[in-house]
This record gives sequence, C-alpha cells and structure tokens, in this order.
Amino acid sequence: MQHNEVFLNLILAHKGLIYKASRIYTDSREDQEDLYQEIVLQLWKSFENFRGEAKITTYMYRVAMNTAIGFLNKSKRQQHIIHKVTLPDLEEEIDVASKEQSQRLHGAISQLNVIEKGIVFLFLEGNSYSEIGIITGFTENNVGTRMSRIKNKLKEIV
Amino acid sequence: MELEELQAQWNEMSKRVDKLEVLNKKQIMEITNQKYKNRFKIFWLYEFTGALICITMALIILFNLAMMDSFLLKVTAILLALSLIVMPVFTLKSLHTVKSLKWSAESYKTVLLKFQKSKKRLLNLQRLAIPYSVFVFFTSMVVTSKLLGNDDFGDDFGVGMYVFIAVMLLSVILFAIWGNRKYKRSMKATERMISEVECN
Repeated sequence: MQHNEVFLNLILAHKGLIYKASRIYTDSREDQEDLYQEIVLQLWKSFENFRGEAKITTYMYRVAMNTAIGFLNKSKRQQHIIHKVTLPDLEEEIDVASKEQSQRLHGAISQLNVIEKGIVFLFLEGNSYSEIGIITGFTENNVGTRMSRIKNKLKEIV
Repeated sequence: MELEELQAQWNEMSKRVDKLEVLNKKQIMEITNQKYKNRFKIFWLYEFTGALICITMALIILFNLAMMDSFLLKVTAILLALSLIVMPVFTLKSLHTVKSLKWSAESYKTVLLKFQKSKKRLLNLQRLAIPYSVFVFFTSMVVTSKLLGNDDFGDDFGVGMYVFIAVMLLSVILFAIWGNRKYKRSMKATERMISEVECN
C-alpha cells in the first residue's frame, strides 16, 4: 500500500514531465493519451527496480523517452491500451495568440527526428549537457554537437 | 525559429501544464491495475499459437517423409518443413527483443539502436515474406495432397486452374516489385537513423 502511495505521489508530482514527453512524440491527441498511459504503466512496472541511485527525474525521463520509442515502433494492435483515459486539453482555455505560439512550438519540434526530439526535450526541461548525456547515453561533447545542429535546424524552420 | 524563442514558449507551456489536473489517483491506479489489460500478451499469444501450428505442421511433414515417394517431393517437403519452423521463430525472436527491454535501465541511445536494428531485421524479413508465401502456397498444396494420399496431384488440372495460377503469380510479382520499392525507402531511412545514433 505504501509502495502504491509513493508511486501515486511521484506521478502526481511529475505529471507535467509525462504530459510533455507524451506531447512531444505524438501528433494527435489520441496518440498522446495512449502514450501518456503507456508511460505511466511502464513507470509502474519498473518502479520496484528503482533503487534511488539516480535522480528520480533521470529515471522518469529515461522510462518516458524509451517508452515513446517503443510506442512509435509498435503497431496499434501491439499497444497496451484498452481502457482509455482522457487528458485535459492544454490549449482549450488560452487566447488565440498563445494557441498560435503553442502550435508553432510543436510544429517546430515535430520537424526534428527522434534523436533530436529527445535531446531538445531534455534541454528545454532545463537539463545540462552532462545530465542529458546520462539520460540518453550520448557523451557530453556529442550532446553539445547535436545541440548546435538542432539550433541550426530550428533557424531554418519558420 | 531561435532556440531561445523555443525555450520561452516551452516555459510558458510548462506553467500551463503545472496548473492542469492531468489525472487523479484513481485514474492512475486504473491504468496500473484493474482496468489494464495487457494487449501485448494477447498479441504474443496469437503469434505463439500461429508458431505452434506451423511447427506442428512441420513435424507432421517430417514424420511422414517416407510417404514422399520421389527425391524431388522429399526435398520439397523438407524445405517446406524448415520454412514452417524458421519464419515463426524469427517473428517470436523479434517480439522477444521488444519484450525483454528494460525501460529504466537502458539509455535512450541503446533503446533507439535496438529498435532500429530490430526494424532492419523485420524489413529484411518482410522482403522475404512475398516469395515465402508463394513458396509455402505451392509446396504445401503438393505436399498436403501427397499426405492425404492423393497420388495424381496436378493430373486433373483444368484450364481454369492454370489461368488461376498464372494470374496469382503475376499478381505476386507486381506486388513484390511494389513492396521492394517501399522496402528500399524504409531501409534507407532506418540505416540513416542507425548511423545518426551511432555517430559520435
């Protein structure tokens, strides 16, 4: 019971992380909802193996991003989701200008490939190159090189 | 778009997300417990049952090899039996790779590489799927006919049957050409992704 409670509080405390991870890798609302649930499920399944050696967010980013790769590579019939949970719409109650901004943001990110998406997601979340390296498995220098390429690519996106 | 602009918009979005009530405790528990059904297990079960049927058929053929009364028929039966074992084993192996991934222990780079390599294997396998189906279709007709005690398979084929076989072969060839073009495009994208992940 205590184990459940710790997990529930963890998910609630980091709901934004999961929401944003599921948003960045998907184009439709339906896919986002499916991926969100898949991430929660994978976090639950791997939670008992979490020994606290790494930061909790490192573990969560890793599971969320790896689950996203798996999600993108699975056909619909291979996915877990049967019971659907509806997520609130982030753009529902915002003004037109903010809505346009949000669409521009996701439009730009959607043009990046899956490696770049992962790196830029972690960067935007405020992680250092070294932390990004730990989560992704790329060296710190490599993360820096990739970030320069991403910057150039973003400049070309209007 | 500048990275700084992207960062500012991201921060704005983060603030809005933090205010949202995304899921409550009850919904989280539903995902993890009662309402969750493992569709992957069902999918696995389908594949496993399919593989079991194929392997059983292969064993029946091999145990009755003595019934194949010519050298050519024996070779055909052995090849059919082998193909009925090899293909499902490949599919199950590819599923096992996905199933055995440890999401929290592996890095993003490792998982990406594993998936891209598994995709490459699957693409290669799909390329073989069309000739494989044709091979299984024709050889199984001949071998099954023999197993059922029919010694004069093909003798009573009418014109209609030959037209059917010709049309089928032509369709398969056209489908294979189309599939091959698609394969080349997907393979190119997969190989590009692998080299991008591996590049340091």
